[in-house]
Amino acid sequence: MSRKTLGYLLILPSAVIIIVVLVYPILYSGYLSFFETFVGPGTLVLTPVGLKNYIETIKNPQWWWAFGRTAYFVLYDILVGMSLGLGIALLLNKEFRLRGIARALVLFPYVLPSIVKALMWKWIYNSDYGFLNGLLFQLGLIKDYIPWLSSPTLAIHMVILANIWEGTPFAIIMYLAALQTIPKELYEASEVDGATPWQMFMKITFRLIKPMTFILIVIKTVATFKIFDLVYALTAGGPGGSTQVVGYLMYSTVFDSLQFGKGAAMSYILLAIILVLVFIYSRLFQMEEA
Amino acid sequence: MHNSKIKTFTDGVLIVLAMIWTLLPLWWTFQTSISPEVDLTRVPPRWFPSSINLDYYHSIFFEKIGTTTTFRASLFNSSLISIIVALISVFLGSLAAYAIVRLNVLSGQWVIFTLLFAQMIPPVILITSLYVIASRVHLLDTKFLLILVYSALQLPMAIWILRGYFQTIPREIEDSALIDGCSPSQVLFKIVLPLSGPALFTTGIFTFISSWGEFLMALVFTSSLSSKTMPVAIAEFMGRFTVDYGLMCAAGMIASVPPILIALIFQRFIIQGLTSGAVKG
Amino acid sequence: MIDCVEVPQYAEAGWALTIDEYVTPEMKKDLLPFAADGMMYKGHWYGLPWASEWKSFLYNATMLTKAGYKDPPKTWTQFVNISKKLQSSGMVKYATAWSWAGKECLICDFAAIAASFGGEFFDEAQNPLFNKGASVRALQWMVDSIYKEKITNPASIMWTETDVNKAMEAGDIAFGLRWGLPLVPLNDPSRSKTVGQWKIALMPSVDGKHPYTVSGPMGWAISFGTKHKKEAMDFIFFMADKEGAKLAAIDQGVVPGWASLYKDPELVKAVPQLDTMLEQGKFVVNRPRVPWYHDFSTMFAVEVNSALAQQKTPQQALNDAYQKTLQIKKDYEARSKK
Repeated sequence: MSRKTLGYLLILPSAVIIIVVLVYPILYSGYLSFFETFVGPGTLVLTPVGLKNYIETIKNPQWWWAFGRTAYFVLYDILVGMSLGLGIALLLNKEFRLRGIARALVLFPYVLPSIVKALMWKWIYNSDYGFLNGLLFQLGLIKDYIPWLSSPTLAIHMVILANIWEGTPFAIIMYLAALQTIPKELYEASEVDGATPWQMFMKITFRLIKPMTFILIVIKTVATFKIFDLVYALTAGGPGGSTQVVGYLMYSTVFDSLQFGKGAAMSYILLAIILVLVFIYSRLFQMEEA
Repeated sequence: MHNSKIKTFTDGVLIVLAMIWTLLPLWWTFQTSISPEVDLTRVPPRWFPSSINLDYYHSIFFEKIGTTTTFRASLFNSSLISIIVALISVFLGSLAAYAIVRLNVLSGQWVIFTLLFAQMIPPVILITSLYVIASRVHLLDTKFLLILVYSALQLPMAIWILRGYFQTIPREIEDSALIDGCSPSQVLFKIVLPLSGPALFTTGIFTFISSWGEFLMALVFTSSLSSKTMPVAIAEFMGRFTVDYGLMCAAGMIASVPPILIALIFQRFIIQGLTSGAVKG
Repeated sequence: MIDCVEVPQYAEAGWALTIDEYVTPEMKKDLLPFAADGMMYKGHWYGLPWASEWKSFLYNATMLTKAGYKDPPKTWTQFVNISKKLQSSGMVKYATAWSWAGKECLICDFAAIAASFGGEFFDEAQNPLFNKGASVRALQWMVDSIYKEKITNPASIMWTETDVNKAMEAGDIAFGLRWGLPLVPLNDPSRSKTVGQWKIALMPSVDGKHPYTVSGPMGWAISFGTKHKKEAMDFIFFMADKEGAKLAAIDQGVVPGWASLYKDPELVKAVPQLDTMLEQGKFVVNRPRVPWYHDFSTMFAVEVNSALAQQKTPQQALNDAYQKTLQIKKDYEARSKK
């Protein structure tokens, strides 16, 4: 058999799976977004409504509030998460004896199942017996135990903290890889020239890891907009809707309110926004480079 | 110079702090899982358990009441599904990657495109229609459906990793085999694949870890013990039995064993897998 | 298992089958009216009652006696005073906790407390009435109990019934509402640290004369997709007929819907204070039985929860809920016409 035929045969199973399970449903969802759905016994009743789902979502303040909150998550993830990641990467880049073990340990928050992470943090934040309360109380920093997840202003930040903890390893590993491509001679040379550590950092490290910074910003934006597991398990969107993020709102629209069409429309709107953001990022990056 | 000694000392302290930051939640969960019940309601809590209590673990492994049998069943489902998905992804992924790299079936652009797109789509787009479609063909609440869906989600990444690795295998090895009279498929199976141990392994590890921890799709597509996976079981416990934290922390630790072992033993593969794409392109 | 609030929606959508043919006249006579009512919609039966329950008001008699109180509070004012005394004497950190997470459990509590204030939830034509008068005061009281009087554990706004149950069992709180036959699990030494300490009393109210609580009958129903209707019905009878119900009551504290069981000597022996419970059972309010209840409930719970989280004033939250309820009702009627 010819090489071409073999090639097609080899790629066929993968292509079939991807098309049937990914491509077709994505298109079908788009189709569903133009309908209003009603679940009857054993059937899904579809009523065409044109752009109604899209317009209602855009006019819905609940959607924009959820979007804003999710963007808030992304902001923290990028500003705090990436900085923390870079800091720890710089540390792990140095030579020390247990470096191998340290690098393995640092992976833990990345590999653990997300629900286990939610479980851990929920217990830490427990208002009556949790670790955070216990620690702060023993250190004398608080007089009374604080119900972390029950206060609207606090709850979202506690979830953000858990999310940052979860996302740090990825930033660490990626920055570490980038740092290792920087030749030591650059540092040695600038030290000879009398540069301060801060100058060395800004002029060498920071500049040379810019491509990685860009990649991380894109990946983290896309990933954090999808956030769901933590919110579902820690707060279910509460208290008072203060941790309602788009992922949870969409899930609830489809599986609690059984409005498949509307949920589909929301997800396409989100996709459009994400694509626009990525486009803006890449334009900014290109301008930086030039 | 004493300057560098201070610097080394500060670095050391910072590294320890970073490790504490990373491991504290896990350590606290572990500590809870072996604490006697009376410790758990102590205010403020103890730093180390007053005595070692293995009741929770015992309960999970041996007790026959509802919650723990559900958990055991879900562990079985998760293991089965994750392993099968890993095998499928590695096998089909390497076939496809080889076809792309050596047999010029599709340009590499397609791989990048599919991968990026698969990452960017909000999962709700997929689960909404998949739910409707799956219910029509009566595939809801089956392990088969999860295996199918997870494989589809992991294949782009698998193909990406394997393609990257195949590109580093010198063509001469394959070319000389072809000249010697091997068919292209023989080259793939007898030469390229055996040489690709690390990449196959990396792909398998990533796929396993992703499938092991996947939550949203499992939540939507499963309902009974015949397909319920570990994350869904744990989420249910958190909703219904939030208050038995000793038991839940034990369950959490057990659920963490496979990923932790993988991270400890195969950290190089994981790190390589994550960075292979980014650094190259 | 189907909850009474789900019956209208499931019936309208055709998700549950009618079981009229299995309900005999004797059964109809022996079932407690509100239990039967919970399983019916527009004259048809959709399930057999299982947990025909309401939320009972419980107090830790041991703690109250230690603090010098012989009787449980009859009015909310007494409730607040006793709570403060219990807290200041160090017996509990918070005298009470509630299941006020932004879910159905919150609506149950609100319905009960509003009724005890003399307020109304919905009128007979299913029009919302909760943003006027006593109901608003009830919500204000709930908010004050957390922030002003400080007798309610603030974590309550994220708690469900399970959390409250555990707090009661652990002796962390002195007052609580609980479904079912609450003394059965509370006196179970394998789960409770406060065996024998709890007693049931009638719900406190503003004037001591409106001890209203909320009902929540649940039952066993058959989903439309079943191919084994007869077997399903057999199972339902096994679980929920008089024998099954009696066993469930004694072992798990599931409240039976059969009136005759309450005189059954075995049951009376196994379940203390059955008479107080029956007395409370006379003062029960139901949540509205409308097919759009699910959408209403999701919205209403979030609104009330945001008042409890002090993001809105009670009046504001209830006004917003009022507007949204009218919209939900309108939307449902428009959708179901197609």
